[in-house]
Amino acid sequence: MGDKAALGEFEHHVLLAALRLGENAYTTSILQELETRTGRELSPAAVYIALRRLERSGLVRTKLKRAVERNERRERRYVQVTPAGLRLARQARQRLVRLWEGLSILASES
Amino acid sequence: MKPPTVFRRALAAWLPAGDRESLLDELDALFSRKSATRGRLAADFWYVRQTLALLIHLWFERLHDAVGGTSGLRSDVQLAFRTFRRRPAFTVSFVLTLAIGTGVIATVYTAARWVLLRPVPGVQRVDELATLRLGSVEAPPHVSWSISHLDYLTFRDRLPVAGQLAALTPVDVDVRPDGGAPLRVSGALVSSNYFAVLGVALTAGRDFVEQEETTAGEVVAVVSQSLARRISSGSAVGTRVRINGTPVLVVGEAAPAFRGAALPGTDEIWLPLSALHVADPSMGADAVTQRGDPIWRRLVARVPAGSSTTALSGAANGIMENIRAEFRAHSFPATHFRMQVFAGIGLDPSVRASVQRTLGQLGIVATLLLLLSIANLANLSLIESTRRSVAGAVRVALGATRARLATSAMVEAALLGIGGTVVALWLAYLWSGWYQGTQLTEHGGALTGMQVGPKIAGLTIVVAFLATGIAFLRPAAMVRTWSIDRLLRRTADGAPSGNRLRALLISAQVALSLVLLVSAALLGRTVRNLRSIELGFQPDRVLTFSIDPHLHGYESQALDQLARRLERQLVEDGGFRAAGFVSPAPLRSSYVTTSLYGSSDPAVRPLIAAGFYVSPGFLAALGARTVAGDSAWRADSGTAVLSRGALARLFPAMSPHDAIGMTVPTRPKQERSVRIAAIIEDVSLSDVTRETAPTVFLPLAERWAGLSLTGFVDASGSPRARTSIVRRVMAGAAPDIPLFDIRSARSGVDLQFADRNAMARAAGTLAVIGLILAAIGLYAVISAVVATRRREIGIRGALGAAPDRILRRVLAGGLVPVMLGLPVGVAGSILLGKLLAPQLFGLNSLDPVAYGMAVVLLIVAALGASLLPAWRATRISPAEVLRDE
Repeated sequence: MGDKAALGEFEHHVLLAALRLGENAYTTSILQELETRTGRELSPAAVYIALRRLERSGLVRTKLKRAVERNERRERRYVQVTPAGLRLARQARQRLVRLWEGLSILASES
Repeated sequence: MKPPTVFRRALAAWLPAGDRESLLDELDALFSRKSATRGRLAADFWYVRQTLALLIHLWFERLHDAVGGTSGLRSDVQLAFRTFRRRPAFTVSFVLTLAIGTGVIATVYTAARWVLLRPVPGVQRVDELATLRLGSVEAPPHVSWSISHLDYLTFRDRLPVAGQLAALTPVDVDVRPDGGAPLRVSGALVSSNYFAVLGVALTAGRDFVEQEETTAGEVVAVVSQSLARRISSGSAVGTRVRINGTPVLVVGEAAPAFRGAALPGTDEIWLPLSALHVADPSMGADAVTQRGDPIWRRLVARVPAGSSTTALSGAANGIMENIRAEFRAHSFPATHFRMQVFAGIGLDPSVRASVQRTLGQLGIVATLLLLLSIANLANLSLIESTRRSVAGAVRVALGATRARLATSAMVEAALLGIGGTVVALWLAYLWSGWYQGTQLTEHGGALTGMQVGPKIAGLTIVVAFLATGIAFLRPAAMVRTWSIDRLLRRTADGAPSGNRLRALLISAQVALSLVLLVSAALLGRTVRNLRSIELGFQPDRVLTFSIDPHLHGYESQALDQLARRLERQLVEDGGFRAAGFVSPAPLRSSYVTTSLYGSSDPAVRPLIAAGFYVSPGFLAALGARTVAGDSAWRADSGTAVLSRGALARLFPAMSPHDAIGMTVPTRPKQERSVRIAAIIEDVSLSDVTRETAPTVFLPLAERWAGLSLTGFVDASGSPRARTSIVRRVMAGAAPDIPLFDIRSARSGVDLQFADRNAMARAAGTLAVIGLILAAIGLYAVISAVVATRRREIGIRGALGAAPDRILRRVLAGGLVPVMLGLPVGVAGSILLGKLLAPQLFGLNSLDPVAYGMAVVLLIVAALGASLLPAWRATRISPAEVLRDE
């Protein structure tokens, strides 16, 4: 993958969810964000695998950090979108917007 | 709540260290949530799915990294192909051995899938269907009876299948397209809901309506796609053909793959019940309305969800008892009748057990050959790995990692596996063609139309790669031992490595090969014993063929006159020495009986003889030897010919000459009798494996209606020439009546032990292949040993050892593992022999001749395989060896 390659649809969604969550992006939070926004039940394994692919392609970077939750201390792998990832996400959005332009008949479905 | 421990541990083992704790914790939390909302079982399944998805991804990731990514893989593939070019003997041996072992498994599985396992094509939701038939625990499995239409309707109304019960009876009819030659076609008489119950779609036209079960009108039919193409250039719907001489309108074409509810499907035409008189002219017009007139051979039910065959069987037998109680006439007069229910459709239940047994035995033999192949592959790869150990040790010394070398070896193994798979599939395709049409039992299970399909390809790939993986286990482990220190030490003391394992593998191959040879010998001798049974005639000199004149209205006197005319024309126009006809068809394991009353005393039981109705020329065509009476018997009404055995049982003290002219009743109250015109030597025209049954021959004119005729001609010359003469003469003499089942009487006899024939052929082929593979393995091992001991042999030669002593030494070294494998092979043969024991005839499973033949053949092959490398050892020049030092 990389700047020249296109993002897969699921990887695109994972990237967007990570951007939304900002500093709080990790496997489970990304999963929950996607399930809430798409209304679909998703698999944490799929999210993890997508994050690994994105990391190997340089579109995200991950770091183990200690998380503090309800007085428990545990380590989590937090995700941060890289500039290359952001660039690719913007390009993917622009492609979609251009494809959607003028398609009012589909856009009005509720 | 905790997730399944095994899967959690597997994840913990494979996840990268940095992700292990965090991801496992997250999954644990999600698991708890799922358990609370969906239940423990659903949560467990969810966790297993996550684990499998993660593991598969991580494995592929590691594999990709291990082969150095795409560029690393490319260089490994190039190196592998260079190696194959440099070592063609090893490559070809490996690929062929793998292909043979895998191809045999694929072929046997193809056969099993074709007759047993595949879903009936064109039928929807086959797993919801069940087959019902009227059988008896007292009768052989292949015997069943038919039920009447009215009884079928009662079952349809009362069985808990919501009316989803269809009925069928197999029929064979003569179909004559407009302006075309008559065709012998298999099909079925079916109830109007047949296609609906099976869920078979029609590609054109319609299926039958309920009125067509009882209303006489224009006769209609549905045809298969293949028959449609033969009777019409376009759509066959609307075409008229003659079926058994009656005009019939084609109203529908079935789905392309549909060939009936049986496997292998051969049905091409389906007729409604109103066509009963067309399919079987002997059935009266009122047969449909008579509860006692049997019509339907099989019933097929679509069983509602949650119901079992046991419950259905109970319900069906309960209905049968109710019918017996409610009606005076019905289909179940014998108290031992039972409605038998079998899950699914497909292979006829009457032959399913024996087909399963035959294929199971074939599967065992094929598995033995696969194991032999794997042992051979392991030996070949071990030898090759030992040979490469020098180069490998040097590469390690120069900086290559062992992981890299192992990856390279893995790529080479994968390519060999791919090559072996491709050749195996080609062999399976070839062997499926060779065994096309082979009948696995006398009563069915023919491998007609057998094809290698995608599932077979999948199985072949899995088996080939498993075999390759097992073969490379030890060589892969040996890569760890490649080091320059070990190489130098080994070179110094000359000790070869891996000899013990190679010897063990040779012993294993010898043992497996012996088991295959013994089983082939036992089955081969069985078939030989069966074929040498004295039948009282020469089956190789007799050609048989069948016709169905009764479908064209020929009965009794008309049939007799037709048969006499045809046999005259076969002799005069065809040039055959003799020709005749008989009914019912002989050379089957079951037969029709005739009673002969030798005494008027009711306490004396009559003789139950095999009864055959014949035309005048039949006994001459058979080559039967007349002992007494008229050798030119004209099959006149009221006369009969008895076999010597029949006379001996009827009148034990009477000589054949004294019996001529005697009148013997065939009914208990003597209302019918026959005059003995001749006595012939015993002939075996029924089950050849049993004692020859007493036989009586009666005039064809006295045969009852509804059976086909089998023609016999006595001729010499090529079977093909004889067949074409018979076709020509019969086409001229009876153009409307097609011939079918043209074959030598020998083939007819052999059909009675079709399962043993099939097993013997297959076992013999596999035994020869196994022997060749074992010999190749032994040759390779001894060659390798000679190569590694070249220095020792050369030095011995320099010290004065005679060539024959070197030869004996090398031979002895090669034969030791052979001798060690023999007792193991004998033990394995005894075990397999017990399994084959019910199939054997004229010998037992410990037959010394079979064992002796197998052992001798094996030792001769082993000696032959050892001789060449041993001879090469004697040619090692001591001078060259010393120069190399």
